[in-house]
Amino acid sequence: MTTQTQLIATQAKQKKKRSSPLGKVAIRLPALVIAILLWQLAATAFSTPFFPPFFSIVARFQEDWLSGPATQLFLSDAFYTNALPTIGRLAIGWILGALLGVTIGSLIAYLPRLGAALEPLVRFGMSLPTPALLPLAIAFFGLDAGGKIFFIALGAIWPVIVGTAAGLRGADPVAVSSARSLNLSPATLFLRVRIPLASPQIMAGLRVSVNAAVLLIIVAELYATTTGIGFMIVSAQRNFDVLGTWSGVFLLALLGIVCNGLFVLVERRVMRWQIIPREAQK
Amino acid sequence: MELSFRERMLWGVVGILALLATMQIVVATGLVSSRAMPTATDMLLAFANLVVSQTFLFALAATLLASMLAFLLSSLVGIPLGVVLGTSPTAEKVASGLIETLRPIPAIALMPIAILSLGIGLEMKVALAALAALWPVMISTIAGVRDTDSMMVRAGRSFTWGSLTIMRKIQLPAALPFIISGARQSVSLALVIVVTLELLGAREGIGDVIRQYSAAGRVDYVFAGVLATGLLGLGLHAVLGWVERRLMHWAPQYRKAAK
Repeated sequence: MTTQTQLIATQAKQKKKRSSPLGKVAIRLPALVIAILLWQLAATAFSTPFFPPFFSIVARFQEDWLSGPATQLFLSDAFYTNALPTIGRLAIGWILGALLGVTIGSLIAYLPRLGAALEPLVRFGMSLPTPALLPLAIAFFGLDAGGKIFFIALGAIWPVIVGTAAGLRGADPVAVSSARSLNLSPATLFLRVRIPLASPQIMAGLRVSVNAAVLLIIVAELYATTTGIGFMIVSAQRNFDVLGTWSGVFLLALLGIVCNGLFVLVERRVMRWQIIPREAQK
Repeated sequence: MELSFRERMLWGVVGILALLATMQIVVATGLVSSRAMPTATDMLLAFANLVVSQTFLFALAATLLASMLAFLLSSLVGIPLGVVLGTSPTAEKVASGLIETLRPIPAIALMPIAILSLGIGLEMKVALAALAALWPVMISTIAGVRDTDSMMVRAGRSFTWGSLTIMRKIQLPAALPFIISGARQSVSLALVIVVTLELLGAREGIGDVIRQYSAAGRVDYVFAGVLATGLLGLGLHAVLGWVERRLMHWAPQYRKAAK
């Protein structure tokens, strides 16, 4: 009864939401614009050395990263030599961590003894401030791309393991046994029934791991690097080039915003079939 | 095929021993260079030395102090803000554009600026960790206040209570389970950010100790330091979980879970 009411309420809410995407933007944009204008005004009025006006940073940002010719999609050479490798490492590290996480999580769900044996390690990984693994990753793989990819994968893997194991274990037994009565092969049962049933929790784990991966790539970038965004920021900071530092910080911030936004988009698309959308479960 | 509690514990011990034995074997046989990884015995010896050393205890105190200050600051700002945004749907909608833009920005990304303006001491750690820890506590406060049973609010109104009294006597207690679980996330996050900043060059703290051993090439102490940091995180989780259950034993959400 309650779920039904909830369901109707959510559907109504969704209808209301969908009807006015423009209205949604219209009510959300002003706060952002006002905040930017306030920053601009305050920075111009009080002129502190460390907080330059917003639009000066934007101008520098454009010069640093977006000054390339049209053939390079307007991205500057600095973007290609310094930012692209960073983004590539982030993507490879996260994908590696996610794939391994789903695999290990599935093994844990199917083999309870293995799960119990790995539980201390997984709990340790979940509560460890993962950036602390950086010196360890560097000792293992060195400072180059390999070490960073390993570091990101190692930090992003834990929430995926936990989400996958919990999702597979908590699957509705009626759904699983009725699927089993269809005489499906184990592989089909796993891919077509169990994984989709577990997908909300797997998605939740992946979501946490995306944020972790973005944090970790920034940590790796700022820790004793010789190339990449972090290197540009740190050298600007050492030369007291405040605008240059801000320009790099903006790029890192943008990386966080874009990764998060992309994940939300993918999640909405993938989870569209779900009867109860994510918002309603909270 | 559920395992009993004793079986799970047993297998947990087996897992830890297997992991340590693997470490010992791959390093002792030279499969993994001893400069990349210590043997399990070396790591445990270093751990035993580390956790009783004065340097480490001071570092631990510095890390915990910075994390707690950051958490207090984030709650002082986040809970009142969350109450305001939770009571007024319009304010929440207007602010959401700003919140949704700022929240995905990792606080660590601001470190270079924070170093320029605040230095590498306690102030910088507290400022950045508080910024990171603000979101969970604020967003769960918003959710909690918004989730308050409207019947209770109406009942309060029929007692002719003012909106401040309603907030204090109805909305805040009703939101408390949410606020506490958000605060728990905030504490963990503050610890993560503080340790990270120390690793990246902030003065004092566990991260600073690990960084120094890493620079000196002492992998045994680096691994021991990571082990200690993880155990600290586990301990913090346990303490916070206990506090949460102690504080919230009256709340319907927790009573249901206890049954």
